[in-house]
Amino acid sequence: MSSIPLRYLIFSLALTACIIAAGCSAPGGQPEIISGLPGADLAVHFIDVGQGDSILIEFRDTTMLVDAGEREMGERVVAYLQDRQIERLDVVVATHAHSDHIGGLRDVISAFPVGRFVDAGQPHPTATYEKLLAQVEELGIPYTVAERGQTIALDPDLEVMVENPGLQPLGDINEDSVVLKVTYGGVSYLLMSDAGKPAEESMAKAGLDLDADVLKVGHHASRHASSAEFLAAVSPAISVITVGEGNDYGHPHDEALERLEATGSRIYRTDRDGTVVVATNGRALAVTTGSEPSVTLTPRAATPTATPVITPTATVAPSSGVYIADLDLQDEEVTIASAEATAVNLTGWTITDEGMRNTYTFPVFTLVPGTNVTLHSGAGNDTATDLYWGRGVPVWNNDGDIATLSDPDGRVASTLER
Amino acid sequence: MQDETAFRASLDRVEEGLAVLLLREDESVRFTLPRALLPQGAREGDILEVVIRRDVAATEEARRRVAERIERMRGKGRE
Repeated sequence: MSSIPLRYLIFSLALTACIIAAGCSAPGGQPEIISGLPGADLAVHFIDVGQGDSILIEFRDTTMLVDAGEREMGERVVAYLQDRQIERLDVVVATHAHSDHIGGLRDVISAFPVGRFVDAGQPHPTATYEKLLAQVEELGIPYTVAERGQTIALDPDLEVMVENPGLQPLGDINEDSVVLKVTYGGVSYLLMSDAGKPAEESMAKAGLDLDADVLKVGHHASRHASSAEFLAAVSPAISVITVGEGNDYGHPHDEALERLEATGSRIYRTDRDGTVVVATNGRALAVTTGSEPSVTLTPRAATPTATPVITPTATVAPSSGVYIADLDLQDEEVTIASAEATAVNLTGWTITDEGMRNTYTFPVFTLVPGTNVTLHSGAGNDTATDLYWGRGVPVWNNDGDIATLSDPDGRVASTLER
Repeated sequence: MQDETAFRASLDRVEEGLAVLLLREDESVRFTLPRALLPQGAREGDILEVVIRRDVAATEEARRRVAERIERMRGKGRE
């Protein structure tokens, strides 16, 4: 035990202090979601392991892995980590003992030195779990059972809080899953594992600050998780569903998807988007999906093709009633209107000029039916009808320009030439 | 015995009425059964003994029944 540097992990049971700290570090308001984020300090990788979870957290030069999918996904996770040039894992978390979360962990802890193993500690009698524990013990990896109120100290600037299980376990493996809240600067990630409504209620009752910008949706978007009350408390800008295509359980369930959509959150799914990486510098968020070059934690030259779009080529967005109604080159205003009968979530949509020299990304924003929104090139305070790019110099060329409106997947919804 | 196998499986979890079972001997082998087919008392984590027995008599009886029906229908078809 004494050989493990304490700086990797300091557990604290100062629950009250942690709640205050979490509340302070996550001020109100949503961070901007932008295209590409060179020099991000924190990258959270939702690795595509089919039906199951595996999440890699990289913060500067520290690493933490949360789960590793089914047994047959272990090699894929190891390969992913090797591709990232990862040489050790400071912390490995087994959120609960079901095979779609811990099955691949034996391959991982065989392949990398591990600083500490954090476990849910429920005595599940499967051979998968027993062998994993035996291997952790044989390798001499320091072992901790997670409990609400603990903090996993990877780095002084990164707060990792254990939100679940509570001090009184709920008596169900899913509901006693380890739930983590990761906060850096003004940005928080809530990683729900397979926790469902009982755990959500337990966390709310404990008075935890559940507000987060990125939500790892609970239990592969089962209908038994992500209640409307819980989602209202979290109010995520980005939701990530870890789910396998054509799984036996019908995940994600429509009811859960509808509740998520109602929050206005952007939704990513590993069955459609592949591995999803959400990076932050503590203020803004950037998303990379699939086989695109992943976010690097060191500054790199931004190239026009490095934007996080899901489809590489621009195609016309189907059935989108959102369009550019006007472009005023002199007054530096673009007006966006909607012909939809329902509100349209424009979060993450973009406006670009001719040749994509300038890109504006919509903050969390919903366009109400029958209204317009005007994007001003200059600075100002955003309202329901007016958004401000914050540019000190004109964007639009008075000799003629083309405005393009695209959805978060990069599909062109509308263009207007003036 | 040639007509019977028995093995143990862990009941890893129940999802949407499906029991997810892991073969004890090699838990990378995973299969599902409707939860309703398991004993009512089965709980997550339980080690289950699964016995598969060929019902040779019932199989023969069903085969004979179907063959008879085919013959009968064939006869009628020729009438």
